[in-house]
Amino acid sequence: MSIVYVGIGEWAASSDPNTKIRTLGLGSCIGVVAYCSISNIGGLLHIALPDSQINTQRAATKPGVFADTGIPLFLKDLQELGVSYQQRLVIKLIGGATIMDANQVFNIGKRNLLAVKKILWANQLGAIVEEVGGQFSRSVELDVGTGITRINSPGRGSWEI
Amino acid sequence: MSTTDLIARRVEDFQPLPIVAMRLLKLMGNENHDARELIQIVSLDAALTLRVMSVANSTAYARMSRVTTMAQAVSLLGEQVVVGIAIGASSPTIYKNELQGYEADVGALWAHSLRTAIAAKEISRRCKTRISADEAFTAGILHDIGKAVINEFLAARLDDIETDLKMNPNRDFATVEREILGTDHTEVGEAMAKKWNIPARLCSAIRFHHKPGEANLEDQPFVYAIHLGDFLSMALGEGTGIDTLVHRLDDNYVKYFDLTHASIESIIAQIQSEFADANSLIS
Repeated sequence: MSIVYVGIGEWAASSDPNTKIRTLGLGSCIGVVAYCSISNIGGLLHIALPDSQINTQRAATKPGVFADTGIPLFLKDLQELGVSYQQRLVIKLIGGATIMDANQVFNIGKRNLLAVKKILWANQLGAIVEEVGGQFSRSVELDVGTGITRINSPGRGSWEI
Repeated sequence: MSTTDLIARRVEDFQPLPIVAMRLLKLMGNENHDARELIQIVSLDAALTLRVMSVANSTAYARMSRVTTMAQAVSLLGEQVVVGIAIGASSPTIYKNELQGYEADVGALWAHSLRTAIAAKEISRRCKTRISADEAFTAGILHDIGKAVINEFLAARLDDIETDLKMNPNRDFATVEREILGTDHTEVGEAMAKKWNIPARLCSAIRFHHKPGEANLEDQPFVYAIHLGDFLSMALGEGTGIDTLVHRLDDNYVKYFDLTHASIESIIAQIQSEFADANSLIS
């Protein structure tokens, strides 16, 4: 079994049933899990910000940081591996922790979640599970062989979604 | 002996900061110090010299030409950043141990502290009044040192803490610490810093980084910068385990900072690349 780690602004997609894809410490960031149970192809993307217009230079070097530039490239990689994503892709969203701020400046998790959903909808996709919000961080692991997605959070244990 | 007495004794017995870090902090406390003295202190420590040079030549501080002398490195990084690196690199008993009481891995405290330092440095540039970005960096490095001491006392009560957090998911973790131990990591950290004669404003940042509104009025802009830097570090996934984001944001930061959606996202985009680069500085 090999484990592939995905950092902030990165993604991985695989058709190898002996691979697990993992990302650590999703705070206000969003982990997008996409899995096709027909072809057993799946992937995980770690988004940090909603919109690439804030820093187009950063988007050019690290498109996965932003929802609008990261998601299309992530879906393209899955398609190239053989996913017929519009019909079969199951999407799960994880992270987007809440930071309570009366000034609405630090609620980045909420803005990330809205942006991710908007881009997914534009690609005829919607999430079947949202493990989002709350005031804590989460790590995620996708088992490419089975599609099982596990969440882990310090002090809160581990659970499947 | 009560838990708070045991913790106080542990603070007394805690290994002091290494001599090089103490000398640098003492030097920084003197506003009229000579930069050449700082260069001299750092240059006497071979491992530290290597660490400072590698930071200066990392992509976060990318320049057209390579930094080859300590004078160039100090001029590029700023004196306080060099002091921060010295503290982190030379204090493994604080930063490199596993924090079982926080369910955090080996090195998590250093990773969180370094990222808080980077974020506090950036956020301090958006302050309405002038505060030192370099000093904010050092405060970011030091803000959670109290966790190194109270960790083992929390570890013994981890089951109670987990149950508490499951029942009350929106608690403030410093309050949980206080209820269980009679003190919290900010108070213990301040006691350590005072014992080491760390300058008063840094002590204030350690003590009030979760309640910046309780700091002295004149220190508040500075302490809020550390408070916000801490939150950005946690939001970007670098906390210290169980207490990550389990704190309250003090939204009175608007008194001292002009921040909008766009400016905070711009800061995140910038520090996220510095965070990624910081990985090479952690090992």
